[in-house]
Amino acid sequence: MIFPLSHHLELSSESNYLIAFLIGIGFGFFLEQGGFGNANKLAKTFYFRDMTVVKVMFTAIVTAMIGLIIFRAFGLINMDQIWINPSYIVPGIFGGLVMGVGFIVGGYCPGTALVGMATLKVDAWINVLGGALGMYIAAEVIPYTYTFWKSTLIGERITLPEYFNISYGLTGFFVILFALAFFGFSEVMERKFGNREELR
Amino acid sequence: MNTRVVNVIVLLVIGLLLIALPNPQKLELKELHLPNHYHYLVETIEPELVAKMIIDDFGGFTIIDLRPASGSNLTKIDSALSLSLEEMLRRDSLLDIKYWGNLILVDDKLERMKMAAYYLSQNGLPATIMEGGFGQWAQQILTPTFPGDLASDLEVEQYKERLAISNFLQGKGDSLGGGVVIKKKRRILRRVVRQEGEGGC
Amino acid sequence: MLLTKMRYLNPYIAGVGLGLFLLAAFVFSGQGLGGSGAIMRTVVGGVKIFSQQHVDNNIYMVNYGGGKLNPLDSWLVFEVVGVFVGGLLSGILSGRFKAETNHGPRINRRKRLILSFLGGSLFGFGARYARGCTSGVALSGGATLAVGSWVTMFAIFFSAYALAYFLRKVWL
Repeated sequence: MIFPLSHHLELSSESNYLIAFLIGIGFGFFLEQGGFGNANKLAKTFYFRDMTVVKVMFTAIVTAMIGLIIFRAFGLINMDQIWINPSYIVPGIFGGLVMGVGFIVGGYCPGTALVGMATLKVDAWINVLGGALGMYIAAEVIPYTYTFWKSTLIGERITLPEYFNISYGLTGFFVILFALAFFGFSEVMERKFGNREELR
Repeated sequence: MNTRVVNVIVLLVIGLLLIALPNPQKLELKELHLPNHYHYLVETIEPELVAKMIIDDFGGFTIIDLRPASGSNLTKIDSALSLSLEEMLRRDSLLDIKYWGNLILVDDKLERMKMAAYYLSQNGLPATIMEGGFGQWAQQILTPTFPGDLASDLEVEQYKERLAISNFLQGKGDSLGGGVVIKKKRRILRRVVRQEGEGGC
Repeated sequence: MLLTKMRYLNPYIAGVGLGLFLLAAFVFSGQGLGGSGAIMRTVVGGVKIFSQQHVDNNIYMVNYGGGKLNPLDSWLVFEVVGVFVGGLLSGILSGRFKAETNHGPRINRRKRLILSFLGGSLFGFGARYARGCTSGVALSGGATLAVGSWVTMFAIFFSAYALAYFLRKVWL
């Protein structure tokens, strides 16, 4: 169990923050290279014209997931020390639906807007300002909807393999199958709706 | 061959290999750590309230005794179910616990109660831990001490109430004497630590 | 000096690169990547300047900046500074570092900026209820196979696709 290293080596928060900065650079670099800094390109995903967003996202999920599953299987990583998102189902669905509306209206999600900001996209700057306002409103509203916000918790750290009571490896296999099916679907849709010259 | 086809095959093979990987289960107690990223929401309840809930036959809750079964457990709560932490971790399914209502966990050690609460919450079962565990239960509920000669009337009244509860729980009397009335309606749970987890985002 | 405008990277290669950095985040720090957390923390930092009391009395904001807590003292904040630098590097290297407003051919710049602000607000609002945005929930939570994250991920794409038809004039 040598991973996560910050825990194993008992790194100070300064060195941990340095790691955060370096990893962030890689994250931002590949986001921009993937085309996430351009709202037009992002939005075309939702018209099946340019499926870059979902392709990049699912490839990234599958890559990181395979790594985590392998490390876990060989006892290299202590999953108890890994952040796993809590599963509040109904607030999660509500938030997801609102975010989806925000995505198609605004063209960015916060992570991609940050990359857009870095490459001087004016709409991205405005988008992040809007995001800050939306979050401030949420922070003011959450105390009044606190019971809803805390509702339908099915597990602070519950994962799909635990929920369906199957092994991590099998879950990984299903996710890969799902991703492959989705990639195939995306390619077909792009060929059908996409404008060849528009692509990249 | 088409590179795309090769890529798909490679990914499928990786997927199949994943299935063959060992799937370690973290069901050993020494492997269950309270994660440090995890700002755990610990809910505690005072022993006195638990005692009153037992006497009032409140219903809708289950007290779980987390200690490993052994004959040397001097302090007991009669209505508690025995399910040791070790046994809880070994179990394949916690589904039946879902129907036990509000869970109140009791053990000698705070750490074990927290671990059990964390483990249960991981499985979607929120649980409350009893403040001070069995130690405080024995001290406060089973053997209440007289507050002393200089005690105020209120303190004497509280002592009488505690003594009545103690006697009742230990079968020394089937009614609550001394004109003690335990109110039916009361706030059951007191939230002590309230911290929200921070999303990865 | 800008380099000539280059094509975007193949999405699958970009995805693998992204995935490896995501894995690195887990392996090095036990953390997923995030985008909106840092914005939230900046907001709380701003509110804190005006009224510490207001932050302390808000059951949500108190977790970020209650009392002596510095809301910006967080892994995610430094990670986002890195995202900014990484995006800048990539933009300069590929000749995409240019002040512009991207909008669909059928709307003007002003309308696009209004919609961008509105969409951003909605996204930010939703992200607080789902406890993270596409990076923090869909990407990081997806990789750790968290149940709630997959549910949220599908909710995001469901509503975006469902609404896309009605907003086609904005983008196409």
